[in-house]
Order: sequence, then C-alpha cells, then structure tokens
Amino acid sequence: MSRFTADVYQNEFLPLGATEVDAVVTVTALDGAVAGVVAGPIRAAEVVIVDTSGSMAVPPTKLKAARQATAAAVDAIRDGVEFAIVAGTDRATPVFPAHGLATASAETRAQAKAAIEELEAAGGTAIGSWLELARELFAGASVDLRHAILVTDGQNQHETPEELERVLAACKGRFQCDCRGVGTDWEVAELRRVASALLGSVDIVPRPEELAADFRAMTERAMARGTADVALRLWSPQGATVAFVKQVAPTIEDLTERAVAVDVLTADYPTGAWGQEARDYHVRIHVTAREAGDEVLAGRLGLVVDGALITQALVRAIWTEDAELSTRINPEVAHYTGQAELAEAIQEGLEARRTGDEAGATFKLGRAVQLAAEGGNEGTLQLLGRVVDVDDPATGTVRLKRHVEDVDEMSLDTRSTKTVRVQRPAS
Amino acid sequence: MTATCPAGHVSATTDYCDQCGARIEAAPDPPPPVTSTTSPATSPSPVSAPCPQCGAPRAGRDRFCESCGFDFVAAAELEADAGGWAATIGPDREYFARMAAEELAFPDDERARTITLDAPRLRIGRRRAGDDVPEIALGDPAVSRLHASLVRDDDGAWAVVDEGSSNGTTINGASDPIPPHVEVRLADGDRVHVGAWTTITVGLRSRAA
Repeated sequence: MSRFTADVYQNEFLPLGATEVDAVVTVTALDGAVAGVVAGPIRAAEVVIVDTSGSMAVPPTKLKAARQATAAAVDAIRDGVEFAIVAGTDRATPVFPAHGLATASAETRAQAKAAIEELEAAGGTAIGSWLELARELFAGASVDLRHAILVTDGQNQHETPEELERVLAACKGRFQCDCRGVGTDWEVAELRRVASALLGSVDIVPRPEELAADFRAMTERAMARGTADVALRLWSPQGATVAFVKQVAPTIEDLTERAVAVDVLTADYPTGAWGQEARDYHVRIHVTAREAGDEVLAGRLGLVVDGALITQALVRAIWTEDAELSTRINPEVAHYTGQAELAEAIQEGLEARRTGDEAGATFKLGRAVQLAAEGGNEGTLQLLGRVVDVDDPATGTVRLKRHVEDVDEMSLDTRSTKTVRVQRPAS
Repeated sequence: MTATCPAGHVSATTDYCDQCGARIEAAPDPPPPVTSTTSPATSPSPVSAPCPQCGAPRAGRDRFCESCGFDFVAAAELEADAGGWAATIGPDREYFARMAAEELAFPDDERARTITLDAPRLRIGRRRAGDDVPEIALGDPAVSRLHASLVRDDDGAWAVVDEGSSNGTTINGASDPIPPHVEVRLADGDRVHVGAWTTITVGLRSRAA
C-alpha cells in the first residue's frame, strides 16, 4: 500500500466569457503505508501468454527466444505468486499447470520451464481466445493483483475484430495485460487496443534475443506494484461537462471513455495497479462562464485506492478582466498539449505515408519533429530520424526517406505515445 | 458538517459548493475594534489601497501604478461617475508577442489609460500633427490613420467597426481579423486589438479599469 500525493498545475484565471478550464495533475505514489492501513505484501497472480502460431517457427530463433523469454519471466515470479503459462494459437492451451494456477516455488518454476521447453509452433492466431483463458484462470484466484504478459508476432487472423472486442469487454477490470510484438508482422493498432483496454503497455521487441530481458523487467515491475486498484475520481459542478481526462505521462492514454458514473456529478476512471511512480493527467472541463471576480471549483480530483477516497486536488476557475492574468500560459498544460499533438502527428503522418499521401506525411511528420524538438523528446526524435531526413528541427522542415525499414516505422508508431515530463528548473 | 453556498445550495463540502462549485466564503471576521484616537495631523501618511489590476502596493498618492501603469486617478473618476461604458487603452505584451513584428520594439514606458466612451462614435487611429481627430489617438506604428471606430448603437450597446485598416482589427485574441466596414457587437470585457501592440478593453465603467 502506497502513500499518494496529487499536485495541480493550471492557470485558474479565465477571461470573461471563457468556459474551458485546463489543468495538469501530477499523482505520485510514494513508498510507505497510509496511516491506519495495515501494510502487507499483496497477493498476486501472473499469467504469461506466448504466441506459438506457425509463424513463430520462421525463423526458428523466434520461438527459441520466446521460450527463453517465458522462462526468464517464470524466474522473476516471486515465491507464493499464483501463476500459469498459456500457449496461444487459433485457440488457447494451458502449458503449465494443466489446470488452473500453480503456486510459485523452486519446484513449480522448474516444472514450468520444462513444459516451456516442449513448446512447438503450429496453427493460427486468435488473441481473444488467449485472453479468455487468462480471464478464466484469474477468476479462480483469490488475489489482489492480476497481471498478464502477452507476446505475439502476428495479426489476429483467426477471429473477427468483433469477437476480440467482446472478449476485451469481458476482461476489462479483471486483469491488466502488457503486450509485446516480436518482429514486424503484427499490427500496432490491434495490440494497442488490447493493451489500452487492459490498462497495460505495448511495445515492439525488434529482435527476438531482446525478449528475455524485457519479460524479466515486466514481471519484476508487476511484482513490485504495491497498490492493486487505483481510480481517479473526478467531481465537476452542475452544468459542467468533462471534455477529456487523459493520462499524459509516462504515456498518453485517453481515459475519458472509461468513466464509471458514481453519481450525477462524479465519475471514476480506473488506472490499474501502481508501484512507486508518478503519472500526470490532463483534464479539460467546460463550465458555465461567470462574472468578473467570481471563483468556482471546476473539478475536484480524488484518488480511490481499494475503495477508499484518499487524496484530492482542486481545479479552480476565476474570471478576470485582467488580460495579464488570463493570458498566462501554464507551462505544464502547454507541454502536455504539445505531447498529445506529437503522438497524433506521428500516427497521422505514418498513416498518410502508408496511403501514399506524401505531402500530408511530410507535413505531419515535420510537425512531429518540431514538437519533439520543443518538448525534449530525444528518443522520439531519434526514431523520427529513421523515417525522415531532418533539415531543420526548429521549423519542422523534413524530407521523407525513400526507404524505411518496417521495424523503424513500427517502433515509431508503437512508441509515439511515450511522453517526456515537463522540465522543471531545479529548485 | 455542511455549509450553504452563495446560491443557497446546502453543501457537504465547506470550501466549494458540492452542487454548483461556487466558493463558500468563511464567516467574516468581526471588524477590528476602533482604538485609534490619533488626530489626522499626526497620523503617518495614509496607506493607499493596492493596485486593483496587479496588486502591487501604491506608492503614496502616485497617479500611476509603478508596476503595471494602472491609472488610479482616472479609475477613481470613473468609479465616481457610475454607469456607462469606458475603454482601457494600452500596450499589450501578449498581443505583441502574437503579432511577432520583430523589427518593432515593445514600448516598455507607455502606460495604459482609461477613457469614458462619451460620444456615439469614437474613431481610433494615428493623428497628424495639429489634428484633434481621431478621438482615440495611438502612437502604435502599425495603426492606420483611420483604423477603426467604436460606435454606440441606439440601445446603448457598443460595437467596433474596422474602417478598412491596412493591418486589420482582431477581437479577444482571435487570429482572424474582423471584416472591414461591418459592425461587430462588443460585450462587457471584450478586447479589441489593433496595430502592433495596442489592446483596447471596453466594458461597463465600474469594471473597465
């Protein structure tokens, strides 16, 4: 159980007639128990889903790497954690144990690794059926934290998008799932949809041999999470509408559609399990304009941890005729507005490039270079540099590269939602 | 514990109303007891109220705020003369930054002034030497000789009309200029931008300051 703090960054002064209130809220989970709550290791369950479709055999190093990675994940599972390994083709098959979940110990880990060695590649890809089996396995466990890792190398060919959507709806809120794509034959948008619905991350693992380190890191991170179930709770006044609630760091994730109504003025936005970490959120609320000098609360943002409301931050609005005050630009809001635009510009630019719209692609990717340079997104700039030749980052003057490796395009697409935090002067 | 907000809602939260969000003022402190019997002749110089625009302390009886150039005297005159409309005219750094007229230097020493809108039509522009029109004379080099006018409608409301200026007129930070020769109705508190750095804020007299 962690201690949480919430800090608000906004310009609360609005010109007369204005209705739009923007604020960035930084939520930090610190180590240490909340007063009055008994701290203890939380009980966890881990399911590793490994793609064993026929394509995993080509080249043979891919399945070998997947086996090693799954074994590495098993090694990272703490004693006492409930776990299972699932093989995915056009259906899901338990690899270890044969039924339900096993309790991790030196003995069960060794048995699991022996079973993983026997994995062979054959058959198709139906991601929904894999998730469905994971859901059933988790349903039988009485634990606080349920985490899955899914790795695939191909597109979801053996079920319809509607079937996948139906499974995702059933799995939402039941467990979290981090997704990894190996090679370049999988579809970024598809895996992003799965990860987003299941509050997990998505990334590309360009080379199979990098998979083991990544699996170990993901499992360790999941095990280190001390708080199983955290939601943002946003109250806004009568007559107000919540335009959006977005996670903006460490990655961009629009939470608006996840709202679960608490009462007519309040909604919860699930954020999953937390370790010792900080996440930033950008909220935009439309309120009714008031007279000069009036102040209202546009939003009250709280955190609900295991059902208890534990901290809150106030988003305010004060109307003023003083342009000096109302035109001040809040650096946090401006930064994350830019970061959101950056992710959009990359995704739209790559889409334009795929459809042969060279002018559109050059414009959007040029804008992306400019925003990445302004925002200090060094990693994103490097990835952009493999897709376009940059003449001038300040003005976003770029030329599309004639030849782009698939892996570079997919890396840029997958990592487009990764943001950098506001550079604050050291105080 | 509950509180009652200015709109009359009973709120479970005591800082802001849990219905409408209005700030709930704490119960006012009782007025301080009057103990001073010092005669005015021996009292220290009166402490002036701070600038209502930027909050900086006012130095003695200075006419202008040292920090933002706010005109205390004009504001007081306007205050005394209740009702009607006024305009505050001055250089606006934020608008200047948006215009990005790099060859021009922002007039750091020019102060904002407030005038009463006391005629049905007030022209805005640059005066020739010796002229007394236009009524609202600006030193802004990007303002045309007859740039725009503030006009009062029959019902007492004000509008701005661009008189076919070279560089256009914008409102409330918009990027597109208003069309020339068309009256655009202004609301209390609207900002009219002309030239390279000038913003004219119009509003009801009690608030235009």
